[in-house]
Amino acid sequence: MFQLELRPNSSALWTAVTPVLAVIATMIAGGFLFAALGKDPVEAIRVIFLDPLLQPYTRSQMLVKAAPLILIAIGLSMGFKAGIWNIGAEGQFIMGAISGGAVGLAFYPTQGAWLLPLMATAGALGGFAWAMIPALLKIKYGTNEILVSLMLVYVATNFLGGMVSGPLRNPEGHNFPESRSFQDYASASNPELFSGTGIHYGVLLMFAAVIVAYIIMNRHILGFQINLTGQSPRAARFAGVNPNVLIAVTLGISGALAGMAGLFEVTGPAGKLTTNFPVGYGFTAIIVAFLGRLHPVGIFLAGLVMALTYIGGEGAQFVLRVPAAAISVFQGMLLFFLLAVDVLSNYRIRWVRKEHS
Amino acid sequence: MSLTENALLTGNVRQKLSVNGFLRWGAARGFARAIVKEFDVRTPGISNSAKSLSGGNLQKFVVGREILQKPKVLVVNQPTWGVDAAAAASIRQALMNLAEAGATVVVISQDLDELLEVSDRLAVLNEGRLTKPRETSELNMDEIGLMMGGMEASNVPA
Repeated sequence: MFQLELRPNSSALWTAVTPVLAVIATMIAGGFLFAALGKDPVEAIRVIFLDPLLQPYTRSQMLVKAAPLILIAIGLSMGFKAGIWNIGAEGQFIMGAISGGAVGLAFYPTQGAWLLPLMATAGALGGFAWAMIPALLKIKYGTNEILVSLMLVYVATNFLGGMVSGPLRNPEGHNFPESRSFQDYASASNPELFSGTGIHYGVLLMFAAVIVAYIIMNRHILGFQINLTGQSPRAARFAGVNPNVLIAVTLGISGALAGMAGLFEVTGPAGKLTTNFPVGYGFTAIIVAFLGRLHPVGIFLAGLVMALTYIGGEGAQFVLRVPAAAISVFQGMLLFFLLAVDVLSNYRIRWVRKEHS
Repeated sequence: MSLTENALLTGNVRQKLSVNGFLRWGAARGFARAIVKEFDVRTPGISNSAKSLSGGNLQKFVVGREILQKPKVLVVNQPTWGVDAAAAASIRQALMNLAEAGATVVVISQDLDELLEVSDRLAVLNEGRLTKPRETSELNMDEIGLMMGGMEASNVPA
C-alpha cells in the first residue's frame, strides 16, 4: 500500500523533472502503441525523436513549427496562471490570420515596407478582439470562458470558410476557395530571413515574447498579480487586484499573441488563406504551455519538443506508414502523463504497511 | 506563496516595493526578513511557503506585516488568536506602540483581558448593535457585563 502525502513546500526538483519524466513515459507507452501496430518500437521512437534533429531541413522546420506554438503558449500561460482558461486560441489564431491577411490583400498590389508591420498589428487586433468576446461575457455576465472561447473556434473556422470563398477569394484563382498567395506578394510575405534556418519574423517575435513574458512574470507587478490570483483569488482581491481587469488583460494578451502567430503563419509557412489553414496549433499550444510548466523558458523548450513530435510524426507516417492519428495520440499521451506525474511535485509517495485488524 | 511574496501582498504601496510596476525583490525580501525578526516568526527562511508555517507563526507574520508598515488606521480582528502567550504579549505591545505613535487602531477580539490591556476606549457589539464607546479606565467589570447584556452602561442607575 502506498499513500500520497501533501508536501509542505512544492518540490522545485520534481517540478523541473516531471516534464522530462512525462516525455520518457510517453516514449515508452508510444513504443507499446507502435508495437501493437506491428512496427518496430525502437525504430519508431528513433524516427520521431532523433531523425529530425539529424537533417538540416527538418532542423530548420523545428523553429518554423515551434514559433506559433510557443507564441500562443506564452500568451495562454499567463491566463492559465491566473486561473483564466482560454481554450480558444485556435480561433484567435484564425481570426488574426484573416484580419491581418485581409488588410494585406486590401492594399494589393501596393508595395512598401510598412505593409507587413501594419498587417501584424491588424492580426494582433483581430486575435485580441476575438478573445475579448469571452472576456467581456465573463466580466459582464459571468459566463464560462472555457466554453465560450472553445465554441468561438468553430465560429472562426466557418468564418474563414466564408471569407475564402467570398470576399477574400483570389480573383485569378479559378474559383478555388483560397486567397491570393502572400508568398507571391513581396511586401505582404513573411519570408525565411536566413537561408536554411527556418527563421522568419514570427520566430523573432517568439524570442521577444519569451523574454518579455519572463520579465513580466518575474519582475513586474502584473505577473505577481497573475500568480496571486491563480493561487488565491480571495487574497488577491484583498491585495487590491481587480479580477475583471486581469481577465481582460490575460485574455487580451493571449488573443493578440495568437492573432500575430496566425498572421505570420499565413504570410509565411502556410502562404495563403484556405480552409486547410488551421492545423490545431491553438490546441497543441495548450499542451505546450503545461509541458513548459507555464514558465516562459519551459514553454520555449516544450515548444521545441512538440515541434519535434510534429516533424518526427510526419517522418514516421512517411517512413513507417503509421497512421496520422498515431501522432495525435502521441501528443495527447504527453499531456496525460505530464498531469499524472505532476502529482509528485506537490505530493510525496509514502509506503505504509497494511494495518492488521 | 513564499513569505516574501506574502509580504509584498499588502506591503507593495506603503513600503515602496515596486517602481513603475517593476518589483524590487531585494526590498521585498528585506521587508519579509524584518517581519520575521521583529515578530519572532519561527521559520527556516523567508523563501518558505506561508502555508508551511504553524497557525500562530503565520498570525505573527500577518500581524507584523501590517504593523511594520506603520499605517495611519489599522483594523485588526483577533490579533492574538492561536498565538502563544509570549508572542501574544509582543503583538499587543506592538499594537499599543502603533497607537502611541498616532495611528488609529481598532481591535476586534473575544478576549476581554486583551481588550482591557490594549484599549483606550471600549465598545461592545450585542445583537448587531454597537454600544457607545467608553473610556476603558472608567469601566468596571459589572458595567462591561451590562454592556454585553445589551444595556447601555450609561443608562444604569448608579
